Amino acid sequence: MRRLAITLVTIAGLALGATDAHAGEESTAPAAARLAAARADVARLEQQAELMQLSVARYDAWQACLKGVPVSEYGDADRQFGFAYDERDGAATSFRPALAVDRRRRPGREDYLFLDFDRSGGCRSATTKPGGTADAASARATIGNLERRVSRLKRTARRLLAASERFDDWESCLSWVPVTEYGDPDGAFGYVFGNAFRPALAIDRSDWDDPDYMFLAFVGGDRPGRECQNEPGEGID
Amino acid sequence: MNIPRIVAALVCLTVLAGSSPSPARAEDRPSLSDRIDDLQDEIDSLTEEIDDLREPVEEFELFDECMFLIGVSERPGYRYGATTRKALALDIRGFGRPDFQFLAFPAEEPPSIECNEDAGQEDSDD
Repeated sequence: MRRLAITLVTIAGLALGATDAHAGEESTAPAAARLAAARADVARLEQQAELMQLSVARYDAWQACLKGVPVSEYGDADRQFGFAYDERDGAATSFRPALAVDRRRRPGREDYLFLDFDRSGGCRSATTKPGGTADAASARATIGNLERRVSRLKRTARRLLAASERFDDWESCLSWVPVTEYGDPDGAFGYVFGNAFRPALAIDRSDWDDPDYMFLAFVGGDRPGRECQNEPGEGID
Repeated sequence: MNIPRIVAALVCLTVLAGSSPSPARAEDRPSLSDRIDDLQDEIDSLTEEIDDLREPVEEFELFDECMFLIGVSERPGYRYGATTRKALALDIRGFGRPDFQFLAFPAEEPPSIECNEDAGQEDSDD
């Protein structure tokens, strides 16, 4: 009878152990090897996503600090009228167009909406850094931990995709406006300014020289989110 | 000791321990192997998604590296016909704060390859 009891106790012990088989499976060699490979993959993806998030954070930070300034060109591009300009080369004073802030036309009717970076307030603060909430990479991460990290990565990927679409929408509407400063900064010649001469900015239409700068602007009422008339990155003819 | 009672109790325990909690719960709960399979599928899909994101994200990385700001101020007093007008001029000299910091890009065909060539490079004496 005592033998029967011992046998039954052994059987009971085996049966109880069988219910924990799943828990024990994690430590079996094939499962452990696959989990280790998954851990390495997840860590690599997290690293890539974090670098991408840094780029997105930088973009979001400066994009939030931009404000549009309506600018128009005053004067005739063919120089028949406009701002008085003197080359001081013995020839008579001529005319040149120049750029000025447009406060008269209705919004969207200006020639260009230049983008001004606001350096006041929060725009001077450091860029937000992503991360910090991720689980610390662990060589002993469990399946549950990896599943959570993958779910988080999926959300991150969705956010990155949304950010890239937002950037594409914004950037594809921008134009590159060739601008040059005409006149001498030291006042030897240039736009007539009282009894002196000063430089000013104008659209550069010359065929033989590169412009000083390419300003980024929305041209002719183009705005992100709407159909843009100008091709992405198109300059001004 | 009442051995038959102990045996009966152990038999009951054996039966209870051997039986699964309920057939439905056992089906709902995937095995570790299944969970690793699912996880690997998710990782494969994520790898593809993140690879696809590389190029668009690099675009604004390039933009961020290449863009710069130009100080511009509005000056009144330029002669325009019989009157005077304000006009914009560069304001990059001196210590005063310009009215505007306009976003600009290098003059090459944007986005240029050259504009970010120094980005991320370490200083070298070579």
